[in-house]
Amino acid sequence: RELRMGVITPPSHVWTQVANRIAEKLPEATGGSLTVAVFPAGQLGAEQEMFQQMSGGLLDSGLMTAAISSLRAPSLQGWFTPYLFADVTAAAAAADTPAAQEMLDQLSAANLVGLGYTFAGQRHILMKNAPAAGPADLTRKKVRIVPFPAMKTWWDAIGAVPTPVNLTEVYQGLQSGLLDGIDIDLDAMVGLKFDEVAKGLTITNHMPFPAVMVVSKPTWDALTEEERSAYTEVVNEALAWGTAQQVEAEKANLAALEGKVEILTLENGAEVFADANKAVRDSLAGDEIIQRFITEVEAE
Amino acid sequence: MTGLSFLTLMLMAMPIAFVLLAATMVFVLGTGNLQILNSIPQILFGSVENFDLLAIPLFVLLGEIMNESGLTRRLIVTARVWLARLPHNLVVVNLVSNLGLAAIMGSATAQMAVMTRVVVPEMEKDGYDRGYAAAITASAGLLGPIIPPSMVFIIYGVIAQVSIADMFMAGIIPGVVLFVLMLAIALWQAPRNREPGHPGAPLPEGSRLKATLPGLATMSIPLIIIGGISGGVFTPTESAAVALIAALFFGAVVFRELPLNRLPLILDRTVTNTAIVLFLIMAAKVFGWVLTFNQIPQAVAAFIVSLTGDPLIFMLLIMLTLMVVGMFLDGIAALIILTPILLPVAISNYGIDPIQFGVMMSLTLVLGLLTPPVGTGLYIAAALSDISITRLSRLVTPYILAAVLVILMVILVPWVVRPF
Amino acid sequence: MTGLSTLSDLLARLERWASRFLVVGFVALIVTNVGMRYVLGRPIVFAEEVAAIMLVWLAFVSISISIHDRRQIGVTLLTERLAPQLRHIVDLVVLALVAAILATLLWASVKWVLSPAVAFEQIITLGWAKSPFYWIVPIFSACALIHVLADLSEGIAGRQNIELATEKESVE
Ligand code: NA
Ligand code: NA
Repeated sequence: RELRMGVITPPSHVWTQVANRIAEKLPEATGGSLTVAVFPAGQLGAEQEMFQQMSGGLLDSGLMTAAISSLRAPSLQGWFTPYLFADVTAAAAAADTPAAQEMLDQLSAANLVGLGYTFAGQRHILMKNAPAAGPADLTRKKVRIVPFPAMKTWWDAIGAVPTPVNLTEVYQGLQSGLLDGIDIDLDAMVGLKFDEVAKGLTITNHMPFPAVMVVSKPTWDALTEEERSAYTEVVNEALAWGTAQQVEAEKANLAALEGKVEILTLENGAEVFADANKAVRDSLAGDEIIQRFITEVEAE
Repeated sequence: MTGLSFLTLMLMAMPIAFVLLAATMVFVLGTGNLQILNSIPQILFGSVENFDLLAIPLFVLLGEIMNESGLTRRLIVTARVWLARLPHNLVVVNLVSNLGLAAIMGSATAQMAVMTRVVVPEMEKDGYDRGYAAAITASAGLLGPIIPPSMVFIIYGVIAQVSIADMFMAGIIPGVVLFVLMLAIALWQAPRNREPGHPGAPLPEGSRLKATLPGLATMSIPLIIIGGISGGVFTPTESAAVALIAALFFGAVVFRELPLNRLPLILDRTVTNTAIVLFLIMAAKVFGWVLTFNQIPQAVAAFIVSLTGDPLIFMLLIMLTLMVVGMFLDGIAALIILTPILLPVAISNYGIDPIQFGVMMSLTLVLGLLTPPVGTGLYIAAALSDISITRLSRLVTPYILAAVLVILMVILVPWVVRPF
Repeated sequence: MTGLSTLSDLLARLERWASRFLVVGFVALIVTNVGMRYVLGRPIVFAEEVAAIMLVWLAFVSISISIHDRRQIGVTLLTERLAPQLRHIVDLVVLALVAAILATLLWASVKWVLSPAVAFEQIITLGWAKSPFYWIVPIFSACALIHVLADLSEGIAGRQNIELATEKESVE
């Protein structure tokens, strides 16, 4: 049986490579009973559309952003608690906490199965001119965000003007001054050459950006016990591989940017952005799973 | 089966968007996976839920307001007054006005329709052959979708997920080169197409300054659009909305030629034209989604790649294919259907710049407007100037060759689409 | 005129007003957003997302109107050369097929908007549920179906010239 797997990222992105790795290893692991066809770059639709297709059993699986997945499993918002993780390695370690597994279990309400996490780069701040050292440098600045509640809350609380702009228009937006800055990961920054039009990079590490491996429940139920365990094993290996790739990519990206932009490494972001961090934590206070997640992570 | 039903239904004059939906359903029946039908409403909705596509109704509306409020006519008068001393000044005026209009309007057919109605009679009064005049006007309409703003570029940008502003900037050099080539051809043909010793048409009344101001006011609209986008003040969609307000202001308040009770009519025409394009986008998206889901484009891509490994030969091959497609199929429909199939191949197998590929595809398909047997632009110009389609299609041939040269330039000199 | 045609014409008038309001509405929204951004430095965060949904609504309403007006483009190259009676039959077949497509769409879209999977969707910048906006698809399917059935009933009653497509005035 051939399983279809959708990803929104372009072919070169680590997440697409994770999907390709699964496609490569699964046939052998299942003795040829399962194969995977990967549909990169949102070929089957935007994430919300892929989610509906998975709920209905049309699409078998997808590697989805935690941001959009949180519409189905609200506790996934917990990942975006600002300054909970120092870097990708720390975030990846949190994937094994019981609360992180409970977040995945919440997907069953939408007829979905969550198998695990992998990670894109940490979120940082890139400004057109000088790097931002704190909220004072960001007041009333137009900053491009990915539109999901936690990120919007954080930027609102800083006093900036969070602006959802299509990623394809960001380069021009920075060049022309339509945007003063962006909330960005280094992969996208290097890949889309934003260093040509914006010069002030602050390494803030304010949030991670996880992806969730999601499988359609009807598909999952149709697999045999052996197929499920083989699938889980291949997926886990690929997700861990992707995270390891990302840890290396963070270093390589930073090295590539050295000398091209002015880099400010903010060591005390938790204090500098304390008010904004609190605003996000307050907004998540009502979620019992998230509270346990924060406790478990901070205990480590 | 799918191909056969597609062709049959198309020749039975079923609207193309419905042909696509019907072919989709036939294909789905063939795969036996009826669940796919459930996803069709969702894909229809999602296919046009896009801020960039909003620019389409806005630019259509802008064109309608330009024409209804007499702004287009004022533009031509200004050009006439200023270029009066040149030999064959009406030929130059025709092309220059088309260039100016192209910087405001996003579509070729709307531009061809209005220009044929306004300029062809003037040129005839000035002693030119009507067929010659209609051929220049119809051909110059091709500048509409090449010079920004451009509906075709917007649609490509949305499908290819490239910046629309980048697409707009990419059209400027090819558009200007095409303009120069067309002007050269038209002037070279001019002496043979003008009645010898004809006294010429009288110039518009009034002083130069009085005639100039309205034209200058009108030209502020392309400044808003092109300046606004390249300066990063507006997104393409916003530039259309702001230009719209400016056009309304000039038309209704400054020149008072646009009675506000005409607005419902203008809106209705905009809505109809928008409906045609958006329905095509929706239906083609559904068709493309179902094909992708069943990995047909992947198979087509593998076939193309087996033919050649050379990006240049690949581009030329695609160009020739698209010219044939454009003879029979509406350009926008073809662009919407073929981009998702061809673009991934162009990028990942041949390393072609998506902007360059988009300009090449768009220009080639736009040419189809002037090629028989199915050429909307040809039909419009022939009908409005009352000459035969056969004669007109012969007369536009040199201009089509000029456009082919420009497309070859885009293929061979990629720099022209990324000069800035 | 059949009763269906009267209903279809009435619907089309309603749709025309709706389409005009939508166009004016999103022009106002976009211009206001530009103004807010430059004059007050406070862009409307939800402007793009809401405007895009208004475009979807406009698209469906306007497609239904263009079906009523029979202005969708098609290739009439061959049908123009057919004998009038034969052409009439071809037109009836096309209308019947289009009606079948729209009926399928109506069925599929009602199922879609009622499915639990759509209940999770949000207009993210506003935090509103998005599923009520999906109702435009079944509404469109029903309205367009009425327009086509009206044409079909006129055609069967013997009125000529019921071709659904036109070749003129497409935009490019
Ligand atoms: Na144009
Ligand atoms: Na043609």
